[in-house]
Amino acid sequence: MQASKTNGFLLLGAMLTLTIPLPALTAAYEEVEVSDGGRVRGKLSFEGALPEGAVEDIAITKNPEVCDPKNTGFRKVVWVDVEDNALRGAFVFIDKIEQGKKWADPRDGNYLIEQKGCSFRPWAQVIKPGPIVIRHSDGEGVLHNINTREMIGVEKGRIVRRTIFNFGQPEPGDIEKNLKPRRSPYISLNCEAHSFMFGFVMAPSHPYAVVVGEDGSYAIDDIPPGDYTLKSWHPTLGVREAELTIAASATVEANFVFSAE
Amino acid sequence: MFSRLSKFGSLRLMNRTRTQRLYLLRESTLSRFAWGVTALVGLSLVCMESTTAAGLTIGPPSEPDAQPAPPAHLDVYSQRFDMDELENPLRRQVLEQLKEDEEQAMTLYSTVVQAGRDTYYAECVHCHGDHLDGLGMFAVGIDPAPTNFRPPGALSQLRESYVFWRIATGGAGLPKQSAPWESTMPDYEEILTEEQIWQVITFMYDRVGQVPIIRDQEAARAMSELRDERQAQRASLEGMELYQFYCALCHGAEGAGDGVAARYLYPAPRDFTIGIFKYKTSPAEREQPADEDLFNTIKGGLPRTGMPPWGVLLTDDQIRSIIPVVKGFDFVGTWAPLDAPDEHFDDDGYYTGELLSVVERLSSKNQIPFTAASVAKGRIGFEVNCTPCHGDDGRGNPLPEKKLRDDWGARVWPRDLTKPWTWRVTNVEGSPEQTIRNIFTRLSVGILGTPMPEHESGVSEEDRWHIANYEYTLRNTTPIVSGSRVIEAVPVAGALPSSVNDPMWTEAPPATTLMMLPNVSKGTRLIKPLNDSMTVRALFNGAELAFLLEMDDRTMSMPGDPDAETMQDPDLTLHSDAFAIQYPKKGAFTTEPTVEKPLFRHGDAEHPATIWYWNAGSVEPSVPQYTRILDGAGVEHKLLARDDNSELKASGEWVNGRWRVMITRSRNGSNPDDVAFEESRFVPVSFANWDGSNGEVGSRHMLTSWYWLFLKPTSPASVADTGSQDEVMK
Repeated sequence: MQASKTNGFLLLGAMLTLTIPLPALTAAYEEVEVSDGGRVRGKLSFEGALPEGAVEDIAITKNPEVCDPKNTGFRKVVWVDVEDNALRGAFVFIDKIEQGKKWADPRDGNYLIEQKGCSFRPWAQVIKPGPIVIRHSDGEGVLHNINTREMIGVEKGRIVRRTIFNFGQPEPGDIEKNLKPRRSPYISLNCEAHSFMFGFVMAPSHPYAVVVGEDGSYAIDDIPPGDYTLKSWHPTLGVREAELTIAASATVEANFVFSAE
Repeated sequence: MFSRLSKFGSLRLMNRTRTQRLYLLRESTLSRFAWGVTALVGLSLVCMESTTAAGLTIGPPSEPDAQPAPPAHLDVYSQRFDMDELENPLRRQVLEQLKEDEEQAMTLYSTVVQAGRDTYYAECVHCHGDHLDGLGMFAVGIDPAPTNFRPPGALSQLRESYVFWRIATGGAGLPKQSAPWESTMPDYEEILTEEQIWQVITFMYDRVGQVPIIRDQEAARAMSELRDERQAQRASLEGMELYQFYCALCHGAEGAGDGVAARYLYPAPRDFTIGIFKYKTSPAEREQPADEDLFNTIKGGLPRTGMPPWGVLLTDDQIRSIIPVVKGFDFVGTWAPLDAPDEHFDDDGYYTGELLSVVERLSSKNQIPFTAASVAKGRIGFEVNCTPCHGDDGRGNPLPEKKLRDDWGARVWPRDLTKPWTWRVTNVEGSPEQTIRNIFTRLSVGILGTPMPEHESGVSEEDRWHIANYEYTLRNTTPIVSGSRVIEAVPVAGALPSSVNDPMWTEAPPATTLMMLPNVSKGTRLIKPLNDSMTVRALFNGAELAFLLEMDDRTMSMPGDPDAETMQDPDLTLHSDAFAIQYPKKGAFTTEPTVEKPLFRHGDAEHPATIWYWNAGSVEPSVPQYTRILDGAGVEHKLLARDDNSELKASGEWVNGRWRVMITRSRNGSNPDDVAFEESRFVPVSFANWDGSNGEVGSRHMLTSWYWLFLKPTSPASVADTGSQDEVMK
């Protein structure tokens, strides 16, 4: 219990209120040809001791034959995933860019959140706000219940999670939904049927956002020359930012260092 | 026989007529004599009812029921006040100021009223209600009901010193003729300052638009004018002004759910800023409720929460005028089309375009008739989709690992589907078919902002109808609250049941479900209870008396138990669940010629009480279930535990969201001070419960006021042959 109390994901015990408005998400994004775009690349690292509750063991009592084939009795939820100082499971994006490259089509034609082995796959992804397939791949007899919530107040550290959609899915198969946040691009996933299933999505208005790789590295291409704010969001550790100047066809490096503080 | 028993009226009936009678008394008597003085009418009022809801052939003794007559002097706050001279000093200041500067007087008056309002919303609203009509969220567990200050004359026929006396000394300060032992009213001398009480009084008169009896004619006239002016302003309020006057107290000036009362309320008032509303009938793909949903929520309120029915005070047009205000607090664009252009949002992100008005409602045209076959199919669907949160029997007890939270991170609990009075979607007038349609709508569209999902996406319409039909059958599986004040114990020839699962329990005695109230009177108080009722059964034989106490409780609270620890809300401390039964000691109550009882929490110095206490124990530290016999002589004194508790036998079992606890003792008991439980005799009895996972321990707990325990005579002749009422009573 103590662990979850300090876990960033659950730091919501008190009733939160938001009276200070945030900037609108709805700034329109214009897709244009970018011929002399620059590139930013870099790496996310984590320094210092892991925060309390960085890894949480949550008991598996529902559908253990599917959710817990190795019969361990619990799921290890890694809220802060660090390997050789590299921080994984984080996003990097350009803030408030209003014009730039086209969105690439999603692989296989659709954005997809798959519920398989009682995990959301992938743990983190970037999507264009709009249609997405919610796939149940765990066979008959397993109830899934994805709850997708827009995380409002992330940058202030006081988060309200506003439901986008929340539905029971007792049968295997695909259900298409519209995953379009109102205000904030940060989205959390949890399963209301399995209390150990979590995931995260970013749905920004523009395509200049990526999930870092297994080694914590990232690259964002085809950025129109100009001055920007580059941000990195880690769902538990919060947001870090850096100022960025992109010159035509040039590459700049921007690294982010996270810590528990 | 009826005429002989005429003195023993139905208590319920008496209670229902009480308010009305007081009002008549005030009209006819108080207006002339300023003080209401009559203890006579209540006692002489005869009721011809000869049966009670429990089916007894005689009713319980009738309570003294007089309009409380105030004392000549009031000793509070280390002072002696002469009641005849005592005036509201704050009103006096306003009246003085009025003579010199009307504007300043109004400012002063507003300040006083506002301070009183804030105190009222912290201390009084739970029982006396938002509308001051005695229908606060705890009122259901309080009998006699909290006073309604709304009717014309309810306050205006009183002097403020009278109201001050009633607030400062509370229930315990009532004279015997007015049954102090039935009152929940705290003695506020211990909780509020003198000034705060006067502020609250000023607020109360102002809010209901009444003027107290003021001897100075000129001052009385000035006060009436002030009242008329404020009432006229209020009558024309609409939109934002109306919202700020009434709604902002809970929902906050900017709609963020953070008004002055918010911290005292569970569930918390809605935060309108992110446009998430729980109760809607629009289809699931519509995130917004229909305007009609918002209208209905405001007009009808949400029973058992802080949200009162505003239709009582406001016109439909006034209610409609609030809807755009509520929508306007939203800053995420809920009421904007998803493709609304940038220029329709201001610099702060608020939508400035035309607000969406949703009219679509989920269709129920394919309703499947309520049949056994459909119910059977529905049970299967319920097991697949609903039991993880609502429990196998629908009592709202989720799997232990489910630490359910709403969008704001507040802990929430699934609905107990077995108690219609807390399942609002079914707690409405209409045919069974209509109720099933309501269930269908709710489970189809879900409860937005909570873990309750929508099922339109993933469950077929046909299956949803079957589930709705099945859930309809769950509604009354907890015995409903009858309103009877009598627990009827039934005789058995042989041995009493040996456990809570003995079939004798469901066969023999009538089940009486009692509404409970949190202890708001004294000590560390409970203002955010989760459980609300207890079902009581009682059996006896020649030697022993046994109670079965049943209570829906979503959690088996047992410190050290892995499931209990997993589930525990980290903001609350986990304690053990516990139950208690209380009755007066021998000689500490009378039933005739007048009724007299101990104060209902632990008795009082003159009327001590005995408490049978059972505790569910804990795993860590390792404590098995245990019983205690406690002696009480008022809340000022610590309860004394007896050394030997062996004569009290008890055992409890928690299964599928319900405690069943059996408590047995010999009818005579070994302690000469304890009352003996004789046939055909009415003995006061009350009940208490501690929901350990809700942080309930010590004085923080749920309880009932006094009920009557009546041991049904073994042979009917023992009543019929009794020559006089005295013998019936003894």
